[in-house]
Amino acid sequence: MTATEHALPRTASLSAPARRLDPNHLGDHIDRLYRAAWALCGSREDAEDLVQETYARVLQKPRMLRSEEDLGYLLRVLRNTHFSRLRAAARRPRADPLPDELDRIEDRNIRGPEAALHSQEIYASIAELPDSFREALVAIDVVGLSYREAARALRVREATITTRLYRARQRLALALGGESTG
Amino acid sequence: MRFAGRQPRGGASIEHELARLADGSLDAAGRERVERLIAGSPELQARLREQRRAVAAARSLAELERAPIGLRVHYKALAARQRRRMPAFGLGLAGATGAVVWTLAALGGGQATLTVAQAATIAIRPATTTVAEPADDQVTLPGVRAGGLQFPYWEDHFGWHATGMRTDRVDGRHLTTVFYRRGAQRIAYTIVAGDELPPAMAARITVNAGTLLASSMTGGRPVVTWLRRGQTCVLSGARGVPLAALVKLAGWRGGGRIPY
Repeated sequence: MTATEHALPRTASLSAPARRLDPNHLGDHIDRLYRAAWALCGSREDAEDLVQETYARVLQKPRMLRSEEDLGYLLRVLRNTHFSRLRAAARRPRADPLPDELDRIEDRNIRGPEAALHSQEIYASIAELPDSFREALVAIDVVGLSYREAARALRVREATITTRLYRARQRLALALGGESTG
Repeated sequence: MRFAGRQPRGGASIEHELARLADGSLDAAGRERVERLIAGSPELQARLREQRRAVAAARSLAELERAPIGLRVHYKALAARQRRRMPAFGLGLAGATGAVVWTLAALGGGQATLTVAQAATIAIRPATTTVAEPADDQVTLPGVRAGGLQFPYWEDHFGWHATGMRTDRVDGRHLTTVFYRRGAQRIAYTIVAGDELPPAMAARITVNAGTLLASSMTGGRPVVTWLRRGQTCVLSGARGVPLAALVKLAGWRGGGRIPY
């Protein structure tokens, strides 16, 4: 991402009045954040860790937002946390592994195998997209932000987001099987 | 035909129009215009189908995937913890008593908020009093209560003998701990008064007989936490105690006679 791409949305947002992020409503977005995290990481387990860490960061202290929706802000923190984790992964000591026996305990909230397979295929295909394409698709199609909100969250121009989104969808459709339009 | 809107780069405009048409965010006038154009172009029709396939796939995730219950538990606990911490910002350890400084100092804690890891360190402390054996066929220990909750008697079923207990006060919260031993292995069962503690960040959440159990390895020691009537229970073991053994103990309800 270039400095130019950062400029417009950030400057625009500075003129808006600040408001305090209400921690009581952040949990409303947990499903969408979880899906976004999975699409970014490509792994369910990593997605859980990422969402936990994102909330831990956001809840660490009071936050003031300017002209930004809570969900857009959360997505930005999630994305930044994701990249921080990738950078830190090599130098961070591994957590003590949990014993294998625990894997045998059923998670009764897990969905059916067919649905799981279907969603895993989609997540895997999204995770294979180039970073910038993936972020656009996650922000708009997975999380459900508007183009404008996505542009703010990702600090790029709306036109840039739209182009990336188009290309991301093109690749995703191809990866999931279907005719190619080049 | 020329497309409305800016021309960011080359053919980007038609891409933008198709992207927005596919997800329904194109305005009515734009939609009408693009649909007219598409009607006469098989290539554009194919490109629109492609966009729509991807939109449908990505949106279908909302139907297929919800955040797992463990993640919700973590969030809820984090939010509760944050609400507790807010008025106390800047107070540091001012409220901590001398008796608990060992716990916080040992963990490098810079804040006066109790964590599961801190509560679990009580497992390495000595018992201060003994506990009585129950009468036959009992599933709880007599005379030991914390917040109205009784501690389980595990010896007959699992071979864990209750050896003693202690009480502590950490971050203004009352902790009651009963120690158990089986052979050379030692575990500690702590009931923490007050709001629930957030599970360890790396904890794995499982469900056992309707109870959510958060399991983790903390400093090489196994720790399981869960709630009984809104109070946090922390079962921690010395190194070498299998985490799965703690999970099994934590979920045991004595045939329904131990209230959860």
